Amino acid sequence: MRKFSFGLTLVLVMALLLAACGGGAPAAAPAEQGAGDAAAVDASAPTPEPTPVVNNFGECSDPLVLWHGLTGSDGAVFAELLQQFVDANPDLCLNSEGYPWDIFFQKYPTAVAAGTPPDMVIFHAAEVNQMASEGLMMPMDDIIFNDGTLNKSDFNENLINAITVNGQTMAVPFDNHGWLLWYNTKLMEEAGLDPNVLPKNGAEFIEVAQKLTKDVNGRHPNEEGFDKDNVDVWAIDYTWPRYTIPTTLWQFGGGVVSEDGKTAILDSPESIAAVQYWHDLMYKYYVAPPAIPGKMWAGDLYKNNKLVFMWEGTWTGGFMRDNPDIAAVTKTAYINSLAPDGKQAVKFDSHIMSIPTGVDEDGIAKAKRLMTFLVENGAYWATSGQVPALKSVQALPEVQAIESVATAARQFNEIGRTDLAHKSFIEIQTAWETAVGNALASPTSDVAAALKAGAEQVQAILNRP
Amino acid sequence: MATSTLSPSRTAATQNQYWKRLRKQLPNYLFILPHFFFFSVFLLYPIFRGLQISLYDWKIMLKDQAFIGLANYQALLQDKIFWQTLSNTAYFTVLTVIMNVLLALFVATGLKHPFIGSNFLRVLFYAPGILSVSVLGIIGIRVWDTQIGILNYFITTMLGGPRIAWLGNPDMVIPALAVTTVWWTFGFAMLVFIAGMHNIPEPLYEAAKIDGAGPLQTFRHITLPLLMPTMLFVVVTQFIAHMQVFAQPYIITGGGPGNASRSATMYLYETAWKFFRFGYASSISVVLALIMIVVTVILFTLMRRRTEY
Repeated sequence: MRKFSFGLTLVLVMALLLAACGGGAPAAAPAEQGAGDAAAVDASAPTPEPTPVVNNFGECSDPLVLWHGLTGSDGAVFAELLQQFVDANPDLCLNSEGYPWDIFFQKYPTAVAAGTPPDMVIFHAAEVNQMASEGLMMPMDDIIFNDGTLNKSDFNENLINAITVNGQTMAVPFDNHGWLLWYNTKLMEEAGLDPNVLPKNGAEFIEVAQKLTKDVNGRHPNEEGFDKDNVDVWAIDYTWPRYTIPTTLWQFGGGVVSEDGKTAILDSPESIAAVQYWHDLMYKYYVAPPAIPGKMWAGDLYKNNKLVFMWEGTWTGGFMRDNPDIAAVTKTAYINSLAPDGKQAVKFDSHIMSIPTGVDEDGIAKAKRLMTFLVENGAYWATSGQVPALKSVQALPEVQAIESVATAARQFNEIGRTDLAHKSFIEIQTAWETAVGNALASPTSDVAAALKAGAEQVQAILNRP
Repeated sequence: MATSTLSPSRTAATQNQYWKRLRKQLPNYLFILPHFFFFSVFLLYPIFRGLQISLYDWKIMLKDQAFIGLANYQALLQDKIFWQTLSNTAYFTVLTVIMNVLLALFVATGLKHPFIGSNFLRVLFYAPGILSVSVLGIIGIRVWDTQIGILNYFITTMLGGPRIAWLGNPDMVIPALAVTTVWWTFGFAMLVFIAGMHNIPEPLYEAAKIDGAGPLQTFRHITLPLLMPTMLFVVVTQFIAHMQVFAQPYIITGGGPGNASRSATMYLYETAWKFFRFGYASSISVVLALIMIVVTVILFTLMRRRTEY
């Protein structure tokens, strides 16, 4: 009995201790990709993330410490920009630390809470409201806008609204980035279609998509004997839902949350129709690969001439630079409308720069100089494919010369929308992404039921005090 | 009221004895002191702190936190995602523990007696266990992937079958993760079973053989009953380990499709570090710990009845 009691006690202690560990730290980074990552496609397709990238620029005893998540292909261009900054400001030096976004969002709040924040951070506009609500950011009005160093009206208005919390502008946009249509003109021509004439609405798109999609035997989805398990060329791919779904929802007149931020509308008839459209593309018309975990990245399909229309990020410019053969047959355009009435809309976001709570005067002054430099030198950043934040920089000839950037800039200014700013933004985003994941998981998924469950969850979050 | 009537000389003797005993025991306490210090700082304190935080609407930057009593626990009871992730975790744990135990027992029985190559096979079966979980995740993706996975490659090209969405089908994703985990972890259970089998006195088998017992009867009536203490150890440790499954779904499926493979610890992690709801996340961890403790006690009680020491 004593043995048993001892054993039981031992196991209980072990259980408590193991439970206290709570699963421990992740052994590898999660599925989701940062908007700046070249490989950002499918939230349900996890890929290993790089280890933190730490670079020092210049030499001095008290460097400006910068944390960011620009670890994708745009990271190389960003590093060149930082080098240019220290070359132009020899009295300053920089310590730049790039982290996968999930690691970044663990380090950032804990560093601020511990009183050891970096001098400057870069993350996304969509997350500003949440970080500001947690008290992790300093307002930027008195630091950089009110003294005329930067002019707010030179930025995209929607973007400035998204990063304004309780009347205070909490960050400085570094760029605009988001979805753009990249399409393969060679495959269109091979299918007998004119690459200069793109489908204008959902019905037209299905017609075109059926002509473009073919299996290994050359049969199209609307032909007898089409082999859906061995498709050679897909018309379109369901790329990163974080951008694809809001874009489609807005095209259809739906959304995740109402404009006033009080009501979940993920289960509205318009929203259901939008997600059902993607379901149909995958499982009814067989013109898009099923949205399942581990599915191949659209870029891999695209560069092998197996995908015609690719909804991808502005950062795909770097991918095209690395793949000149496919770039030679690629054109860009506004994201095509899938809605019945052809309504256009596209989601865009921004890498924003901000100063964490607790940074001293010296750190603020240094961060201000770097922010100003980065914003004013957005033309160089445009070589990574991202759209410069300042409209005046967007208009520069060297920026307009980059076709994808010029198109994206026009698109974001004309039809671009940002996510609704909310203090629980990431939780809301996770809720709708899960719901849409359920809706598109299989041919038999009940889209309306999945979105209803998601809407209930989003509403529960909105209802919290 | 009782009072002490000890004489001064007797009190001095008692004190003397007390100091003597303390001096004798002191080295023992000193030996455990370093461990106890770190144990307290890094485990005991966080456990109590976690319990405390679960009673607050904890904001990372606030100095005065809002005490909300059991509100986090009340919310947890109505949280459909928590219950789904808990159900996913329980399903995964049951599948993994059962497969692990059965497979390990089977292989251990085969490898109990030495033969040419038996040591090589033991190493071979144990080898996956030395892989880090991130490597396991990458292997898992390469095996189960619908388009480029090796499993579907064999099914489609060699057997002429259809592509199966192993990770895309909510009904198949957890079994797929469980099989991956069993491949990774059953080697440890196998080694423990082999050690346990070697502790069973050989004369028992000889006696059974003389009485005409076959291999199955011997296994059922001798090996299995006498292996119960080992079985208890394996089941309890496997249960605790797999109830905390995190990295496999995190890397291989991201918790999808939908929430179909999201585990409770994954939800806990997201609640704390993505949603910054530290109080709520703490309440999840407390409830998880309680569930594990209760189930462990039940396992102990049930299996102890069948244990022959």
